[in-house]
Amino acid sequence: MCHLHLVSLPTYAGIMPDNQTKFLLLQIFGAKSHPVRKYQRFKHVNPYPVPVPLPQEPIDLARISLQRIAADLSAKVTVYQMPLTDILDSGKEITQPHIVGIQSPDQQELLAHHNPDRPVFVEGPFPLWLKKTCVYYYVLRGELLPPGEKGEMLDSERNFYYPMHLDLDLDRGPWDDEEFDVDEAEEGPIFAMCMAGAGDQATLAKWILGLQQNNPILSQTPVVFHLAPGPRELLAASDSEPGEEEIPQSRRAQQER
Amino acid sequence: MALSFKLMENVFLSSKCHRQNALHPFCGPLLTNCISKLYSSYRRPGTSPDNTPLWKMNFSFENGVDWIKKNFGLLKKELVDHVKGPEGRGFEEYFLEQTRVVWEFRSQKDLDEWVVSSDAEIGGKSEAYLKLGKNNQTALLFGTLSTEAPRDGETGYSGYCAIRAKLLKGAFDTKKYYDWSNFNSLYLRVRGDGRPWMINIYTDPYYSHQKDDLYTYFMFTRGGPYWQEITIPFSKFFLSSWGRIQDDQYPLWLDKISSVGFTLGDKADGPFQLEIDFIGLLNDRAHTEEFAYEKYERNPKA
Repeated sequence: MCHLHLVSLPTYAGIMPDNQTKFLLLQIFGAKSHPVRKYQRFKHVNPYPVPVPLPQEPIDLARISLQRIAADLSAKVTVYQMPLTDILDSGKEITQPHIVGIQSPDQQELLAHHNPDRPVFVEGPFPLWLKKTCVYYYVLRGELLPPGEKGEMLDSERNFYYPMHLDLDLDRGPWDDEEFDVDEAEEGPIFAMCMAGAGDQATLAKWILGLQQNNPILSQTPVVFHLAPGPRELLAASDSEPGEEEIPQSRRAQQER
Repeated sequence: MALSFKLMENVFLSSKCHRQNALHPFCGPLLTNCISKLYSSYRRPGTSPDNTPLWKMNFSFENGVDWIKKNFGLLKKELVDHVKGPEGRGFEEYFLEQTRVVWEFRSQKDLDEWVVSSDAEIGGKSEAYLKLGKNNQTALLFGTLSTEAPRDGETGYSGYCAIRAKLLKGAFDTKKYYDWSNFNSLYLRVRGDGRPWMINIYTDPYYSHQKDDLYTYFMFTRGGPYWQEITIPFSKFFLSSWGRIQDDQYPLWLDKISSVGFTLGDKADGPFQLEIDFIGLLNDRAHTEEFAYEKYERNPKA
């Protein structure tokens, strides 16, 4: 039973045994034994595999994790700032944390349609686990609009000759009804995500400035920072938070000049 | 009547705490510490077994009256449902349904159907809590995992946390099961933080020596702010018993499922969180696989 003890925990742990373990197993137990078969079955079971070995450099790590959470293959990763440690003439040390952001074309479109009178929120840091390392990311999202205020984006009578918006799933026929009879949890739209070396407002403000180049609407939208000192749950409370500060974008941009 | 026969069967074959005291099961709810014994018979090494005699246990008349009222109500509801159709649903719904929502988390009452446990029961240092999420629309399971093993000389590994649905109870505490034979996949809408979870399905087998068998499969969360919809066909669940994967695998039988659970044990110390929107069932007509693992005898004795 001891060999079962050896192999059972790694399999349940989500960590796939590597080649060295396989070789050892083969040597000790033979090719048809129970532990070897277990290893063979669960090698490719993870639909979101984490690259092995995980890169140590923060920018590469941020790139991989942002691509993983974006869930969109057409999303673009932009490095807004490289990590830098500078020593000024006066001997004072300035450290610049890295800022890596990601935005997909769908998110860009959503942001372009966003009403500039309503604020957008920068929330974070949220934890993300990759095997055994935990990284933190920040999210730029908008509020959930009550159903009355949601703009009608497509006028269904605009064009009679062909439908402007087609929602066909050609894999399934009309006889299959796979809708669930439940109201899904709704949340505000997400406009962009980023990972930064430091979680303070100045760093994230630099991220917003970087995002402004591709999303000019951000210059007119007030940005509210909901930053928690430590990692927090993904559900942001809509009530007042200790780290909240509202700074209209244009006023801040004037201050920086 | 089938119901009275089931009642008699459960009167004599009830759970361990009743057998221990040789009590009539109608006194069940009057005893206060029976519930934990329904889920596991684990006793921490070093503690003495609980042998308090009957006359020392707390009895409460009020609780008894409430219990009788509640159970007669449930009995009436069961009789009415039996006339309506299988499990209280009409025949049209039963034959034509392709999706069904089994658990959704919209109120505290929905959360009460689940039991949270962590390795704090065996003396470890993990914590796990379950609460309602934002706008009362989701359930959030969060906490910290710690792989430091408790120092009791017996346990080698530690660091898990789990959540399990409570066993279904009919009138007078009869055992009831979920009948999912119309469906072939489990559908979950979750938002995790990248950690791999394991989904366990507990069935109620006919033979009691199979009572610790468990069908498991992995749920890999992607992490991130977007919701993840996971569909796992029941043919992928593999059989394990007492934590060991069995050599002889059998497919999961869907007609007598007692509960479902999620476990986290990925040996990474630190905080975790999992948000569940709802858990449902799906009859995926494009999925024709009966069982994903080999059913023939492994290592046959020639």
